[in-house]
Amino acid sequence: MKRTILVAVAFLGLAGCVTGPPGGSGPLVIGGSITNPISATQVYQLESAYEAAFLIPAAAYVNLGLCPGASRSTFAAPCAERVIVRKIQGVKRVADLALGKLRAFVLRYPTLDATSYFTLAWQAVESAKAIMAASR
Amino acid sequence: MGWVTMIMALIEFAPKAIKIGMEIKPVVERIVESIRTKKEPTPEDWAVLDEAKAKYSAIIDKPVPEDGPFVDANDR
Repeated sequence: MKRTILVAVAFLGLAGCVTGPPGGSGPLVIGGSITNPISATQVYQLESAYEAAFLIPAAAYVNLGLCPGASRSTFAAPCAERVIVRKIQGVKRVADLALGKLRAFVLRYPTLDATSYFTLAWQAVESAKAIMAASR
Repeated sequence: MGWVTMIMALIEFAPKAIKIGMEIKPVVERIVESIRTKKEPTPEDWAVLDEAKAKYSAIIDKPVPEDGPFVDANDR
């Protein structure tokens, strides 16, 4: 029974690779091309969004200068709190690593599925953006 | 906080906010252009992105001391 189910699943899987000639007539051919759902363009857009939504505001925040001692930033005397700067550096390390891996994978293997790398990078960028939103 | 302090703070903040906006604008334009044309990024596009990342990373990744101001890597 198990074997029958496995064979059926294998056939269903192969059915996804069956392509016919344009127009729908003629013999069916196994082995159609696979398109990567994540393109280099999307990676470029994600990295650009990371730059605009995280890197630029984070650099501006750090450029405020560190608060003296353990004092906190106020509206009248804005400064970069050490705790927040360290958090920014932490999420940046994670995001840079994830984005680097994603870009390397997509450029090197354009026909392989990079969804898992993209998801990781996307989550890292979202965390980075959340840190910046919380520090405003 | 008094009105005078608030207005003084706003006056101080406004140029910084404008500066950030001016830096973000070309990046947003790049994203919009990329979405519109769906064009594959060229090596030059990646180079521009990497250059900007390096520039901002140099600012963000400065070591944070327990007390006192930032320490430049060259001064350590």
